[in-house]
Amino acid sequence: MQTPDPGSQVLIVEDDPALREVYADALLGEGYAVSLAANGSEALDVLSAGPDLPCAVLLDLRMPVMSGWELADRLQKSEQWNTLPIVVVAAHYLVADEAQRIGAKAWLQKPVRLDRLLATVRDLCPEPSAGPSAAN
Amino acid sequence: MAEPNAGWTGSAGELALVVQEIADGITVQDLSGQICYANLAAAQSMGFPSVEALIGTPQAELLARFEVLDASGRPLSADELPVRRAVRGDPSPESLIRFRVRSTGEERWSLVRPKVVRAADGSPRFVVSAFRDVTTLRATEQRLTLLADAGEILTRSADYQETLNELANLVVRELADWCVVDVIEEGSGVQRVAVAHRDPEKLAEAQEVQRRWPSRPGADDATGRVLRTGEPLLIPLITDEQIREAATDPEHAEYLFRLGLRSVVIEPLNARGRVLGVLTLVRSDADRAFNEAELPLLRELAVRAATSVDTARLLHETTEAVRARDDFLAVASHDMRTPLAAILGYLQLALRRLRPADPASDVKLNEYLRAAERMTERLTHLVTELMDVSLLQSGQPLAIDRQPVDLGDLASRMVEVHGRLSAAHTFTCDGDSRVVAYADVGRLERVLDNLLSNAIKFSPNGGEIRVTVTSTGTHGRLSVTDAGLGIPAADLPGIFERFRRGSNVGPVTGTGLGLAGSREVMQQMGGDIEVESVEGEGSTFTVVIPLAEAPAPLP
Repeated sequence: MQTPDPGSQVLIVEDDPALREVYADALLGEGYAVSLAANGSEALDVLSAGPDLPCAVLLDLRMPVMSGWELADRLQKSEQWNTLPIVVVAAHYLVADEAQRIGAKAWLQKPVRLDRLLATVRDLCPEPSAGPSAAN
Repeated sequence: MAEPNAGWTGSAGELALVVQEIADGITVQDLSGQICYANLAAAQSMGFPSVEALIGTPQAELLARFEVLDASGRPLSADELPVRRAVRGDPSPESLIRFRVRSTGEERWSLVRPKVVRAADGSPRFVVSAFRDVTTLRATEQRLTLLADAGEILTRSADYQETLNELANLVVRELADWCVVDVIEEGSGVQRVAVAHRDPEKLAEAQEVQRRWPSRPGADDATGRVLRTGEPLLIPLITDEQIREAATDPEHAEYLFRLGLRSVVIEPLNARGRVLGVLTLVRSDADRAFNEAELPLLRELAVRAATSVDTARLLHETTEAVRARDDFLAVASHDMRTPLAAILGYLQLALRRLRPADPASDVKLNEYLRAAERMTERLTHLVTELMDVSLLQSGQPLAIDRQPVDLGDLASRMVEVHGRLSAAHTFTCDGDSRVVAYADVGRLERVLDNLLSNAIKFSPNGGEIRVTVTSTGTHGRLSVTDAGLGIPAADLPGIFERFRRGSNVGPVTGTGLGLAGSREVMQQMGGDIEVESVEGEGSTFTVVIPLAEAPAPLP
């Protein structure tokens, strides 16, 4: 068991609880810290609670309460959060266009292979100091 | 031998007979305009039973019988009449004029050619006018122009409310004082989609009538009858009594009187055996009542209007159906992808947990999980393909996900899968190794899958299917060669068109992307598909894929 590295924290914004679990397990297994939000509004709450900013935001688009599009718009307009790297992970059939439209750093279309998800996060986040761990 | 020239002697008597009998009207008028001579055709065209009756009528009385108009319908003053102009020395006094017989309302068109006959000293003596009745000719011309204009209007837009309003405006310029078009709308009954009136003030009143006393669907009024029977209705003259009967209340009747409801034709809008609505034309002047002879033209107009409504509706229905299909696919794709993503994710998490430990008991479990993962990915590809077909058909771009991919590895993997599907074919894989292209792996697999399935399908007698990987330096090339039916040279140029298939193959079923879709997918990846084939020897389909991250343009 290891302590996740707060500097390598990934914010997962996904309304499907199973997918939240899958992404979280995979990231925790690699030594990343994760915070979870079921929609855009919860994501804003998580960010406001701080103290550390995530190194990447995995963002679904179609979500109840506050969609990924709206959250991206809010982040864009905020001085504090407008540089947060967003990775769109969505089932949307025009996911590439949508990701570009909201200024995301990368996009992945569901269903996504975990190795690709991890590779994308690796590109954006500092290496977790504790190193990868498969058995968390 | 018969007497030549029918006994013609050229005598003055014979010439008088010629003038009397000629089919064109001939009149001689003195300089004051009084008719001194007329032939039979002239008398008849002015509504007189005999020449004597015409000549015996004083000029003032004669003029009072007619309203003379120019071709555009403007009344002509006495000074503007062709004969007067000729007397004044106008070098080309011939004119096309319209005259309306005041007593009957009948309107005739006439081409009038006056000629001043002068005395030896050059002073005018009298005027000889020849005139030809061109009413029929004019009517035909008008009819053709009107139909051409109507045709142009009705094809201008797919919005039939807009085009029918323009048609109604055309009708009130040319044919009637008031024109309305009612269309049966599904769910909401009879809708008045167009109203036009020659007099803009009355247009407002006509709309007011429609607003306050709307047409009642299924009503047993004239419109209802035409809608029900699909047969046109002509009421040449409507009596005040009939208006009172048709009106809902006295105020309604008052409005109808003011609008001038005197003569009416209701034509059904029939298309493909259904009555879509009615075209109603009204004249407010009893002198210009509709008659049977006008019906064929109105019929033609109604047919054109009906076709336009029908076409617009078909177009709308088709567009809606395509939209509904796209919406369904988008939602279905999304709804299928989310659970697929979870299944795939859990399988991969499980596989990751198995990886470090390697006890023998986990070998089978690992195998099962891998198989489940492969099947999930296959299902994912099917969902993607389903969506791609829809996107390509509606001309939308695909979300291309490029990654480096070793073409040799991909080829061996695909050949292995297809090798298991057909025992009749020998599969070989050769060419350059380490050709790494930059492509959307899932879609490239679908394209290759398609080409390999085609190779099997179109070589029914078995034989070798060879997959070759080469590189041009900028592009990887992946060729699938079969020894099958081949494609006739004439069919080759169209082989990538949608719904095309070689003429030498029967009704082989095929779904999914097909060749056209596969090529479009490759082109969106910065690549292409090429084909070479000899009928009877086999075909080679080559997938071209960019090697670099920024795809170089194809030569």
